[in-house]
Amino acid sequence: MTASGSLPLAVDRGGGFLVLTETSMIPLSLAGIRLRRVLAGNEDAWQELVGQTAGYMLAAIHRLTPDEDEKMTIFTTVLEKLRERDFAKLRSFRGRSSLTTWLTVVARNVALDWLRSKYGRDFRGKKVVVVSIDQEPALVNRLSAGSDPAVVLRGERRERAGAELLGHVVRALADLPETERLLVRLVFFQGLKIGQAGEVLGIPRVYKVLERVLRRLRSVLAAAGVTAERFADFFGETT
Amino acid sequence: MTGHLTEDDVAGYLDHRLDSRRQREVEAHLAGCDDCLAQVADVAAALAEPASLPQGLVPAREARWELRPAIRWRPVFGVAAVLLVVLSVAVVLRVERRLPLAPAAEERATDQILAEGRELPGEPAAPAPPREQTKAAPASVPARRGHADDSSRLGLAPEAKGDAVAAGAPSVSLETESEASRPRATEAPVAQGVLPAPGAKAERGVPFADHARKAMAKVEASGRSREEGEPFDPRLRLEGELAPAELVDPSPLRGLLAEDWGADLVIRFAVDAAGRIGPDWTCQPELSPSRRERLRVALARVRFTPAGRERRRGVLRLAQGEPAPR
Repeated sequence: MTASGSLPLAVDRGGGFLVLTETSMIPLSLAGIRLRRVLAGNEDAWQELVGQTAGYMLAAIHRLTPDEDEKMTIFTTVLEKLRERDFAKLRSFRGRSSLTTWLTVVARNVALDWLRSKYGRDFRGKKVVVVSIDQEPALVNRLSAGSDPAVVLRGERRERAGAELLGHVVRALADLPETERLLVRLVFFQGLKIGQAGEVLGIPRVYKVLERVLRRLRSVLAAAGVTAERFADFFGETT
Repeated sequence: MTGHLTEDDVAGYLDHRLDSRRQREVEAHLAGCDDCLAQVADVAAALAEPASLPQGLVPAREARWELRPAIRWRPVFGVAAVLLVVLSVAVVLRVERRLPLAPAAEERATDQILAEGRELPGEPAAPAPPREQTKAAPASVPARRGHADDSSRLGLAPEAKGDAVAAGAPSVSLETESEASRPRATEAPVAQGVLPAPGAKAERGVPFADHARKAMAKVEASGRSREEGEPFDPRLRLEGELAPAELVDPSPLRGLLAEDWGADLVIRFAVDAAGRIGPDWTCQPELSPSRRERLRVALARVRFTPAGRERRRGVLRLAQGEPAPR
């Protein structure tokens, strides 16, 4: 069905558009025609597409780097990637999702590649932050306090306790059903909001589910001797 | 699954467009891959809370509008619009006087007849259905009220209204208990997965006009996705008020089925007297379920007018596997 040079079948639920290859019999919706115009090189249609999806792409990039200049540089790179070789990337859209979602995934991947090429694979840890000493005296104090043996020892013990606690939690998570395990990881390890995680996983009444899961985790951890009191010295109040 | 998830996989997963098997694979991968899980989380968060656009970045059309000269066009176009509306109404009224019943009016009339339990004009007399079935007919054929009622009128299953139902499950949603429990003459092809030929003599016993029985003509076909040889298990099912003898030959649709084409499409097409799908296709997205529903069902309404028959309608349901459990 996908003849060479023609568009793949594409359906956008969110934007409500439809693109089909065999168009002789099938009238296209306005949005589908717009995508065709983009791929045909129509600049206005391209600008419109960018205007409608930029907010999502920028938000995805922002999750990786909050630096405004860097964010806009990456965003420009994303647009260049989409346009290069006569929209080759955009043409690879297969219509298995909404175009907006797909573009957001692409933007996030391009951002990740860009940041890794600049700072290395673990770019979050290696990223250099330039801070003025005059503006951040507290930071200087913190850095100098790091040489205090007592502070260093406390830090090491805290690190060990954290690793131990994480090991317990990971073992407890392994007993959960897959969806519930993903829910916990999305919320507590990836920082997704509870409602958003429920949306991703298709869990209705996600708050109740999460409450039940946490209760179960607590009981499993308590049975293994992992209690809030035991780790209170390292992490303060825990729940 | 080796390596990381593709962009299509992540986007499809977030939009709940993957078939259930693929979705399970993706979730299994996510359970063991922090990179892909972070990707899903980042994109989900971005979709839920898009960033505000920088000041210089606005859709081109708005920018162009600002550059347009401030001409006084509104009164001119306002008057033109009013004149156009008046002219259109006049033309429509004139045409309606000349023509017989318009299709919409014809359908309403048909619905009225069905609701009253009468037979449609110009159709062979049907044997009188049992009393319980006759009583059930009006309840299962509600009055037509625009598009929304089409789903119930045409026998759409609850998934057409956004409810999560196992795709491919037999649709008995609009049937009374007695109808559901009664064996249907046309169920055999479904159970066996056999595609009956159009005009099969053996099935002419079901009266075409017997809407009270809601004889469901069903056809199932199977195929495979061309995408990476991935098993697809699409099911093409025709159901509704279709005469078994006039089953639509779905072969022209198999190309579409073989293409992994997403869900939520409505196809409207005509079928000629020989049961062939005519060239006048129209497609449009419809009845998009909410993102939580995870439906893998495409719906299509079938309208066809066999020669010498009243207009008939049905539902074409294209189901891609089963929806994931909620």
